[in-house]
Amino acid sequence: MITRTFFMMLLFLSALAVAAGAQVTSDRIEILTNDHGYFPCMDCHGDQETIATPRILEEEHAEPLEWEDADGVTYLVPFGELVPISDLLGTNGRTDMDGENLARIGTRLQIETYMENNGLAPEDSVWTMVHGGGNLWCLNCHDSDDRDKLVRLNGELLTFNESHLLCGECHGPKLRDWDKGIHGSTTGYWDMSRDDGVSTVRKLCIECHLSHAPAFPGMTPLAGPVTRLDGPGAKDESH
Amino acid sequence: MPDKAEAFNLDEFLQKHFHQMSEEEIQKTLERLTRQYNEKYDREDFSVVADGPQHGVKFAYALNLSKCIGCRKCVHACVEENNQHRGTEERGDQVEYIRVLEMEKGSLDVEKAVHDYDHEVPAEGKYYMPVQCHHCNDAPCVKACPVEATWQEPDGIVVVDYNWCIGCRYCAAACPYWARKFNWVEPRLPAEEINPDTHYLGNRPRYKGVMEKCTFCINRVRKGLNPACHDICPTGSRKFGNLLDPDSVIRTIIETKRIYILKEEVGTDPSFYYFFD
Amino acid sequence: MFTGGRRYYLWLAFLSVLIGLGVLAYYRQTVHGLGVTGMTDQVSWGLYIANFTFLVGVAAAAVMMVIPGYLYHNQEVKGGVLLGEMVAIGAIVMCLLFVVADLGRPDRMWHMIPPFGKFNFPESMLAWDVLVLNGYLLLNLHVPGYLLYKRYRGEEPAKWMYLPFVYISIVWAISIHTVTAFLYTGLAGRPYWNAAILAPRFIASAFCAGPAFIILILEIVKGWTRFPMGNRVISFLRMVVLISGLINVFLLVSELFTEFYADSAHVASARYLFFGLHGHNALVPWIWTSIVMNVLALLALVSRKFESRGVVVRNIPLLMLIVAIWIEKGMGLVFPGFIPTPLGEIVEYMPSGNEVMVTLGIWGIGLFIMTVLLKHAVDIETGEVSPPDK
Repeated sequence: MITRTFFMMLLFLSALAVAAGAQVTSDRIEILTNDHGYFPCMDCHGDQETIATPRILEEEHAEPLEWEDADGVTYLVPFGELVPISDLLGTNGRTDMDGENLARIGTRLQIETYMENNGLAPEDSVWTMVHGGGNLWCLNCHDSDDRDKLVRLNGELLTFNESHLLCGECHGPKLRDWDKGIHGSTTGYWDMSRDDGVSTVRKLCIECHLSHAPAFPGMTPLAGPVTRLDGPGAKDESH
Repeated sequence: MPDKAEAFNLDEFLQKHFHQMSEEEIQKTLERLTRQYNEKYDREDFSVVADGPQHGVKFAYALNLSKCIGCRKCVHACVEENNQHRGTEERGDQVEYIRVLEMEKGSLDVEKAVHDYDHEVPAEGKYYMPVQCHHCNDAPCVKACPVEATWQEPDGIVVVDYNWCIGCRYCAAACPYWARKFNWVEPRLPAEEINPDTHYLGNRPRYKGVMEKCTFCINRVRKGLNPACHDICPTGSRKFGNLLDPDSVIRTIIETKRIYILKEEVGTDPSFYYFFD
Repeated sequence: MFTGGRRYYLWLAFLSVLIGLGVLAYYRQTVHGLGVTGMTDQVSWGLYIANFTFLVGVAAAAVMMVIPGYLYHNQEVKGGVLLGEMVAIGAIVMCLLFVVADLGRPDRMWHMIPPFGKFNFPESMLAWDVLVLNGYLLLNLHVPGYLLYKRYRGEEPAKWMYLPFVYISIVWAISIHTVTAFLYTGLAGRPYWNAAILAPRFIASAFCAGPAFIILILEIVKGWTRFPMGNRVISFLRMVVLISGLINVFLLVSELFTEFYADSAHVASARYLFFGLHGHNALVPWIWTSIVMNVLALLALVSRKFESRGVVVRNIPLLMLIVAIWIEKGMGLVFPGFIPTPLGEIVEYMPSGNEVMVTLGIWGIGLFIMTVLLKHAVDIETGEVSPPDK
């Protein structure tokens, strides 16, 4: 069991290393944080996609974070408790934060409107392209108090090795399939009675799907087939 | 390019059909083959086994067409595992058991498929369908062979006895899945790419003039491992297992997913299923 | 074989050259493998099997003379039957040689012979074909062989020694071509071949090209030897050629309609053959030439005007039919079965020089055998050859 956990951890960390080549580039983060900077998390966590070790933050987020964007607009980003909308109003009385509550669970940030208003293309956003299509933000999955942990809908905390349980909250059928081995990659033995306990490996969700940019990346295929001979008509077209 | 002349070996010439040989004769044949391969490829570690089928095992394969992205990693992993002819130096026309078709979304018609796509995958409006030997339970190739050089083993794998095949290629004409390949020339196998762990009915190096095809990596699966194409797939589209085990992945897929059979109408009853997910 | 005119020896010398080159080419093939041909995994049968298919038809056609000769006791025809059977022997030998030439491992042919080998009879149609072809060869060696031998010795042949075999050979001749057709029609994975019309079409085209071939031989025998050959035999055979040819064309029309009216996905091979597919159209000129030649030749035969013309002119339609049907069997049947492949890929086929050389060599062997056998038969029948004690 311990060997397995260690192995999983190792795999997770190496997956994060793989994230270095991911679609999410630092360019977009730069645009967001420097030019538009409406996503305060990205200020400090903008390198999340590119470094292997997750950031561990302390009490700095115990109070609502007051944060000013490039235009000088101040936002309050609360953590840890339900806050009425009125308290979110910054010094200019404006908020782009839609609605219901900015608690730990679920918030719709009007990213589309913001981007439209500011003439941004979807590719500029780290978040609209990726997980949840703009419906999710950091604290949907990450626990605000303990950055080493993920948090479920019911408040339960999970380690990164149990991240599949979190994914499964929204992706229930996929999790069921994954559990049975139908979804995802399992390598090693088909005959588990001959498995030595370590050779058969089922990859965790995050080992194939980057949690912040889960769409499976495209790739260049390996070389195609070559016929033994060119037929008489072979030169003039490509089928 | 003249081929390395193979010395005439009387034992090889008179070798009986696999089913005609006693245990002892099979052993002697395996030893002879190991010796011949070691000599030919200048190695010491060749192993040719003839592991028989397990009782209570019937293999099947399922391929998730919603997940295949057409990267062709399976094609090349298979070539490496199975000691296939790498083609001539100039052309590189290697023997490939798996052919990935780029299909048009909205159609199951292979006539519209592209085989030699060269762009980033997956492409817009396409889906990908790899095709290999389906190990049919009513295989037309088995019926066609005039010397019974190809047959279906009890665990479902359709195999070829490379020392028995006469190279008439009737089986290739019979196969609805274009799964059978012929050795038109002496196979070229670079020394550094040889896989020395082989099976008599599977990935041992073949000869000029005989047929070959996918064997579900018989040298691996009879040891309980997955086929090479299964493990290399980056999207996990390929699933393999024992149909007779009710808890196996393959059984679960067949019972819960909408599987279908390619060219079902030709009635060959394959062991290979496709599904969308 | 060793007494004959200059034409005879020149012809044999020419054939020997072809045979020699064929043997060299075949040797090259055994050394390097079938890779010296133009075949690929996509088109895995080519010129060898195309010729095999055509020649099985020619061999079967000998029966066209056996039926009237022996069943209906047409004395005129009987004389010609022997010659027809010589042609059949030559054709069958060529068939067997073409199959051997096409094998990847001819050194393993003994694998077919029980009890040492394993013979997949009755499941494999190829096994059936091996049986019927060899059986037909034996029949055709025995019957004329026996009759000629008796004739040579001036003795009356015993009816029980040949008559039953004659009747068997009538059925057997139909069977060799039917079995060859079944070789193709039994393959569900190749919709172009998996059609009931193939077997009747095989018989129709065989009984058109075969007798045409025999007529050409008979004309040569009639013109250059003293063999008693009446006109009625040839007239009769011309009628057979015409009727079979007309049936063949009707079956072609039937095929074309069935394929193209519904235009389902299964017509890809037919579309490739007649009209080209996705820019590939190498076979289109061949098949249309074949059809045009076929129709023109049949029109010439129907008009009967040609019958009374000179020996060359009246046989041109027959030659056209032989070529047209050769194209039909090879390019019209074998190659399009592989194009497109069962996975929809199109790779066209062009025989290599080596392949053509081997093919010519085998034709050389067949014609050589036919020539020698015919010479012997003619010599014995005309009494030019008799045993030393007579």
